[in-house]
Amino acid sequence: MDAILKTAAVYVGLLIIFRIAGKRSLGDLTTFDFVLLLIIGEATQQALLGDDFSVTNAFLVILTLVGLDVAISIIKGRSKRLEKLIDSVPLVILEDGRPLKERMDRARVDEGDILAKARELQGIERLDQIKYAVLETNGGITIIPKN
Amino acid sequence: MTKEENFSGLQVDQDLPFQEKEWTAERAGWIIGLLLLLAGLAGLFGGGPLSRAAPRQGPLRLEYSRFVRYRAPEVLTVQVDPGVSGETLQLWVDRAYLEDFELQQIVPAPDQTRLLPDRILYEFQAQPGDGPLRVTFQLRPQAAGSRSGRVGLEGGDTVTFRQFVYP
Repeated sequence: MDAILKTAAVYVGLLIIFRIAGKRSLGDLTTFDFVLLLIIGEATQQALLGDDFSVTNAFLVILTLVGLDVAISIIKGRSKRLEKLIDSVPLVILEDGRPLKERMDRARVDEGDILAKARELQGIERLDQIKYAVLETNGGITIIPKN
Repeated sequence: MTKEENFSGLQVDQDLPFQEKEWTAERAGWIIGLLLLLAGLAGLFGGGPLSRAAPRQGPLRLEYSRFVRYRAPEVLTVQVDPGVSGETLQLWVDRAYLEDFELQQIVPAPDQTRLLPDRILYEFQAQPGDGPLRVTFQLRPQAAGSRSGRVGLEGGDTVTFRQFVYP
Protein backbone atom coordinates (compact mmCIF):
# COMPACT_ATOMS: atom_id res chain seq x y z
CA MET A 1 0.00 0.00 0.00
CA ASP A 2 2.79 2.33 0.99
CA ALA A 3 4.62 1.87 -2.31
CA ILE A 4 1.54 2.71 -4.39
CA LEU A 5 0.66 5.84 -2.42
CA LYS A 6 4.26 7.01 -2.41
CA THR A 7 4.56 6.50 -6.15
CA ALA A 8 1.30 8.35 -6.81
CA ALA A 9 2.52 11.24 -4.64
CA VAL A 10 5.84 11.39 -6.48
CA TYR A 11 4.07 11.24 -9.87
CA VAL A 12 1.76 14.13 -9.01
CA GLY A 13 4.60 16.10 -7.41
CA LEU A 14 6.81 15.75 -10.47
CA LEU A 15 3.92 16.65 -12.75
CA ILE A 16 3.36 19.88 -10.83
CA ILE A 17 7.05 20.78 -10.65
CA PHE A 18 7.67 20.28 -14.35
CA ARG A 19 4.44 22.06 -15.25
CA ILE A 20 5.54 25.06 -13.19
CA ALA A 21 9.03 25.00 -14.64
CA GLY A 22 7.43 25.61 -18.03
CA LYS A 23 7.49 23.64 -21.26
CA ARG A 24 10.78 25.03 -22.41
CA SER A 25 12.59 23.50 -19.43
CA LEU A 26 13.06 20.05 -20.86
CA GLY A 27 12.20 20.66 -24.51
CA ASP A 28 15.31 20.25 -26.69
CA LEU A 29 17.64 18.80 -24.08
CA THR A 30 21.05 20.37 -23.76
CA THR A 31 23.87 18.31 -22.33
CA PHE A 32 23.35 19.84 -18.93
CA ASP A 33 19.58 19.27 -19.04
CA PHE A 34 20.36 15.64 -19.66
CA VAL A 35 22.65 15.43 -16.64
CA LEU A 36 20.02 17.21 -14.58
CA LEU A 37 17.44 14.67 -15.67
CA LEU A 38 19.67 11.84 -14.53
CA ILE A 39 20.16 13.41 -11.11
CA ILE A 40 16.43 14.03 -10.77
CA GLY A 41 15.84 10.39 -11.66
CA GLU A 42 18.33 9.26 -9.05
CA ALA A 43 16.82 11.47 -6.33
CA THR A 44 13.32 10.22 -7.17
CA GLN A 45 14.37 6.60 -7.21
CA GLN A 46 15.59 6.75 -3.62
CA ALA A 47 12.29 8.16 -2.42
CA LEU A 48 10.30 5.61 -4.39
CA LEU A 49 12.15 2.49 -3.39
CA GLY A 50 13.53 3.48 0.01
CA ASP A 51 15.31 0.50 1.44
CA ASP A 52 12.87 -2.04 0.09
CA PHE A 53 14.72 -3.70 -2.75
CA SER A 54 12.23 -6.46 -3.38
CA VAL A 55 11.00 -7.33 -6.85
CA THR A 56 7.43 -7.00 -5.56
CA ASN A 57 8.04 -3.41 -4.56
CA ALA A 58 9.71 -2.61 -7.88
CA PHE A 59 6.78 -4.01 -9.84
CA LEU A 60 4.24 -2.24 -7.67
CA VAL A 61 6.02 1.05 -8.32
CA ILE A 62 6.27 0.40 -12.06
CA LEU A 63 2.66 -0.71 -12.28
CA THR A 64 1.52 2.42 -10.43
CA LEU A 65 3.53 4.69 -12.73
CA VAL A 66 2.36 3.04 -15.93
CA GLY A 67 -1.20 2.84 -14.60
CA LEU A 68 -1.25 6.56 -13.78
CA ASP A 69 0.16 7.34 -17.19
CA VAL A 70 -2.56 5.33 -18.92
CA ALA A 71 -5.25 6.81 -16.68
CA ILE A 72 -4.08 10.34 -17.43
CA SER A 73 -3.98 9.71 -21.17
CA ILE A 74 -7.57 8.42 -21.01
CA ILE A 75 -8.65 11.46 -19.02
CA LYS A 76 -6.92 13.74 -21.51
CA GLY A 77 -8.79 12.10 -24.35
CA ARG A 78 -12.11 12.75 -22.65
CA SER A 79 -11.63 16.26 -21.37
CA LYS A 80 -10.12 19.06 -23.40
CA ARG A 81 -9.83 21.21 -20.29
CA LEU A 82 -7.78 18.66 -18.40
CA GLU A 83 -5.62 18.03 -21.43
CA LYS A 84 -4.75 21.72 -21.53
CA LEU A 85 -4.13 21.71 -17.80
CA ILE A 86 -1.74 18.78 -17.99
CA ASP A 87 -0.11 19.32 -21.38
CA SER A 88 -0.50 23.07 -21.94
CA VAL A 89 -1.34 24.50 -25.38
CA PRO A 90 0.74 25.26 -28.48
CA LEU A 91 1.63 28.88 -29.15
CA VAL A 92 2.43 30.69 -32.38
CA ILE A 93 5.61 32.66 -31.71
CA LEU A 94 6.41 33.92 -35.20
CA GLU A 95 4.11 35.03 -37.99
CA ASP A 96 5.16 35.96 -41.52
CA GLY A 97 8.79 36.42 -40.61
CA ARG A 98 7.82 38.69 -37.74
CA PRO A 99 8.69 37.35 -34.25
CA LEU A 100 5.95 37.90 -31.65
CA LYS A 101 8.30 39.40 -29.12
CA GLU A 102 6.16 39.61 -26.02
CA ARG A 103 5.09 35.99 -26.17
CA MET A 104 8.56 34.80 -26.93
CA ASP A 105 9.85 36.55 -23.83
CA ARG A 106 7.19 35.08 -21.63
CA ALA A 107 7.69 31.62 -23.06
CA ARG A 108 11.48 32.03 -22.78
CA VAL A 109 12.26 31.53 -26.45
CA ASP A 110 14.50 33.81 -28.47
CA GLU A 111 15.12 34.35 -32.16
CA GLY A 112 18.22 32.21 -31.98
CA ASP A 113 16.14 29.23 -30.87
CA ILE A 114 13.76 29.72 -33.78
CA LEU A 115 16.58 30.13 -36.29
CA ALA A 116 18.36 27.06 -34.98
CA LYS A 117 15.21 24.98 -35.37
CA ALA A 118 14.56 26.49 -38.81
CA ARG A 119 18.04 25.48 -39.97
CA GLU A 120 17.73 22.06 -38.45
CA LEU A 121 14.26 21.20 -39.74
CA GLN A 122 13.92 23.13 -43.00
CA GLY A 123 17.34 24.37 -43.99
CA ILE A 124 16.05 27.95 -43.69
CA GLU A 125 18.56 30.82 -43.58
CA ARG A 126 16.61 33.85 -42.36
CA LEU A 127 13.60 34.65 -40.20
CA ASP A 128 11.73 36.24 -43.11
CA GLN A 129 11.63 32.90 -44.86
CA ILE A 130 9.48 31.50 -42.08
CA LYS A 131 5.70 31.68 -42.27
CA TYR A 132 4.96 30.38 -38.80
CA ALA A 133 6.97 29.14 -35.87
CA VAL A 134 5.02 27.29 -33.20
CA LEU A 135 6.08 26.44 -29.68
CA GLU A 136 4.57 23.02 -29.22
CA THR A 137 3.26 21.53 -25.98
CA ASN A 138 6.34 19.33 -25.62
CA GLY A 139 8.55 22.42 -25.55
CA GLY A 140 9.91 21.94 -29.06
CA ILE A 141 9.63 24.52 -31.85
CA THR A 142 8.18 23.64 -35.23
CA ILE A 143 8.68 25.70 -38.36
CA ILE A 144 6.44 26.26 -41.36
CA PRO A 145 8.40 27.85 -44.24
CA LYS A 146 7.01 30.34 -46.72
CA ASN A 147 6.42 28.94 -50.16
CA MET B 1 -3.04 39.86 -26.35
CA THR B 2 -6.10 37.99 -25.19
CA LYS B 3 -7.85 38.24 -28.53
CA GLU B 4 -8.14 35.06 -30.54
CA GLU B 5 -6.16 35.05 -33.73
CA ASN B 6 -6.83 33.36 -37.00
CA PHE B 7 -3.85 32.10 -38.91
CA SER B 8 -4.59 31.43 -42.55
CA GLY B 9 -4.08 27.77 -43.26
CA LEU B 10 -2.45 26.98 -39.94
CA GLN B 11 -4.53 24.54 -37.96
CA VAL B 12 -3.18 25.06 -34.49
CA ASP B 13 -5.08 24.63 -31.27
CA GLN B 14 -3.92 27.85 -29.69
CA ASP B 15 -5.65 29.17 -26.57
CA LEU B 16 -4.36 32.58 -25.59
CA PRO B 17 -6.57 33.18 -22.54
CA PHE B 18 -5.44 29.80 -21.20
CA GLN B 19 -1.83 30.55 -22.09
CA GLU B 20 -2.12 33.81 -20.19
CA LYS B 21 -3.44 32.01 -17.12
CA GLU B 22 -0.77 29.39 -17.45
CA TRP B 23 1.97 31.99 -17.39
CA THR B 24 0.46 33.62 -14.33
CA ALA B 25 0.28 30.24 -12.61
CA GLU B 26 3.83 29.52 -13.68
CA ARG B 27 5.12 32.72 -12.10
CA ALA B 28 3.10 32.05 -8.95
CA GLY B 29 4.60 28.55 -8.90
CA TRP B 30 8.11 30.00 -9.11
CA ILE B 31 7.41 32.20 -6.12
CA ILE B 32 6.00 29.27 -4.16
CA GLY B 33 9.04 27.20 -5.12
CA LEU B 34 11.34 29.99 -3.96
CA LEU B 35 9.49 30.28 -0.66
CA LEU B 36 9.73 26.52 -0.17
CA LEU B 37 13.47 26.68 -0.81
CA LEU B 38 13.89 29.53 1.67
CA ALA B 39 11.81 27.62 4.22
CA GLY B 40 14.01 24.60 3.56
CA LEU B 41 17.15 26.67 4.15
CA ALA B 42 15.68 28.02 7.37
CA GLY B 43 15.03 24.47 8.49
CA LEU B 44 11.28 24.06 8.16
CA PHE B 45 11.87 20.67 6.59
CA GLY B 46 14.48 19.63 9.08
CA GLY B 47 18.10 20.45 9.84
CA GLY B 48 18.25 24.23 10.26
CA PRO B 49 17.82 27.02 12.80
CA LEU B 50 14.02 26.71 12.72
CA SER B 51 14.27 23.05 13.48
CA ARG B 52 16.78 22.99 16.32
CA ALA B 53 15.44 23.13 19.84
CA ALA B 54 17.14 22.83 23.21
CA PRO B 55 14.69 22.97 26.12
CA ARG B 56 15.96 22.80 29.69
CA GLN B 57 14.32 21.44 32.77
CA GLY B 58 16.34 21.55 35.98
CA PRO B 59 19.63 19.72 35.40
CA LEU B 60 18.29 18.17 32.22
CA ARG B 61 18.97 19.67 28.82
CA LEU B 62 17.58 18.19 25.66
CA GLU B 63 18.73 18.87 22.11
CA TYR B 64 16.43 17.70 19.36
CA SER B 65 15.03 18.62 15.96
CA ARG B 66 11.45 19.82 15.67
CA PHE B 67 11.26 18.65 12.08
CA VAL B 68 12.64 15.33 11.00
CA ARG B 69 12.11 13.11 7.99
CA TYR B 70 10.79 9.63 7.62
CA ARG B 71 13.58 7.07 7.90
CA ALA B 72 16.32 9.70 7.88
CA PRO B 73 18.96 9.38 10.63
CA GLU B 74 18.30 11.74 13.47
CA VAL B 75 19.98 12.56 16.75
CA LEU B 76 18.54 13.31 20.16
CA THR B 77 21.02 14.50 22.77
CA VAL B 78 20.41 14.57 26.50
CA GLN B 79 22.79 16.47 28.72
CA VAL B 80 22.73 16.17 32.49
CA ASP B 81 24.52 18.62 34.76
CA PRO B 82 27.28 17.11 36.90
CA GLY B 83 26.61 16.09 40.47
CA VAL B 84 22.90 15.39 40.10
CA SER B 85 22.91 11.71 39.86
CA GLY B 86 25.56 10.42 42.18
CA GLU B 87 27.36 7.44 40.77
CA THR B 88 24.59 6.05 38.64
CA LEU B 89 22.73 8.18 36.17
CA GLN B 90 19.25 6.84 35.50
CA LEU B 91 17.77 8.25 32.34
CA TRP B 92 14.52 7.09 30.83
CA VAL B 93 12.79 7.55 27.49
CA ASP B 94 9.12 7.02 26.97
CA ARG B 95 8.39 3.71 25.26
CA ALA B 96 5.72 4.86 22.85
CA TYR B 97 8.28 7.29 21.42
CA LEU B 98 10.86 4.57 20.87
CA GLU B 99 8.28 2.48 19.05
CA ASP B 100 7.98 5.20 16.38
CA PHE B 101 11.63 6.15 16.35
CA GLU B 102 13.76 3.09 15.81
CA LEU B 103 16.75 3.32 18.12
CA GLN B 104 19.98 2.64 16.24
CA GLN B 105 22.54 3.32 18.91
CA ILE B 106 23.11 5.03 22.23
CA VAL B 107 26.45 6.76 22.78
CA PRO B 108 27.84 6.06 25.33
CA ALA B 109 26.31 2.61 25.61
CA PRO B 110 24.30 2.28 28.83
CA ASP B 111 25.63 -0.14 31.44
CA GLN B 112 22.17 -1.46 32.01
CA THR B 113 18.79 -1.23 30.34
CA ARG B 114 15.59 -1.86 32.21
CA LEU B 115 12.13 -2.23 30.84
CA LEU B 116 9.40 -0.43 32.77
CA PRO B 117 5.72 -0.55 31.79
CA ASP B 118 5.66 2.80 30.00
CA ARG B 119 9.31 3.64 29.53
CA ILE B 120 12.78 2.29 29.09
CA LEU B 121 15.36 3.08 31.73
CA TYR B 122 19.03 3.43 30.88
CA GLU B 123 21.68 3.36 33.57
CA PHE B 124 25.11 4.93 33.16
CA GLN B 125 28.01 4.75 35.60
CA ALA B 126 29.20 8.33 36.04
CA GLN B 127 32.63 9.22 37.39
CA PRO B 128 32.29 11.75 40.20
CA GLY B 129 33.72 15.16 39.39
CA ASP B 130 33.24 14.81 35.65
CA GLY B 131 31.66 17.49 33.51
CA PRO B 132 28.09 17.22 32.30
CA LEU B 133 27.15 13.83 30.97
CA ARG B 134 25.97 13.79 27.38
CA VAL B 135 24.04 10.88 26.01
CA THR B 136 23.27 10.71 22.30
CA PHE B 137 20.41 8.67 20.91
CA GLN B 138 20.72 7.88 17.22
CA LEU B 139 17.26 7.36 15.84
CA ARG B 140 15.41 6.65 12.62
CA PRO B 141 11.75 7.73 12.49
CA GLN B 142 9.52 4.88 11.38
CA ALA B 143 6.23 6.75 11.17
CA ALA B 144 5.25 10.07 9.62
CA GLY B 145 3.24 12.78 11.36
CA SER B 146 3.38 14.63 14.63
CA ARG B 147 4.90 12.65 17.48
CA SER B 148 5.63 13.52 21.07
CA GLY B 149 8.19 12.04 23.40
CA ARG B 150 9.31 12.30 27.00
CA VAL B 151 12.74 12.04 28.50
CA GLY B 152 13.47 12.22 32.20
CA LEU B 153 15.68 11.43 35.14
CA GLU B 154 14.39 8.59 37.31
CA GLY B 155 12.58 10.28 40.20
CA GLY B 156 13.50 13.72 38.86
CA ASP B 157 12.84 16.18 36.09
CA THR B 158 11.06 15.39 32.85
CA VAL B 159 11.16 17.08 29.45
CA THR B 160 8.31 16.62 27.00
CA PHE B 161 8.97 17.44 23.37
CA ARG B 162 7.18 17.27 20.07
CA GLN B 163 8.57 16.37 16.68
CA PHE B 164 7.05 16.43 13.24
CA VAL B 165 8.11 13.65 10.91
CA TYR B 166 7.83 14.52 7.20
CA PRO B 167 6.88 11.56 5.01
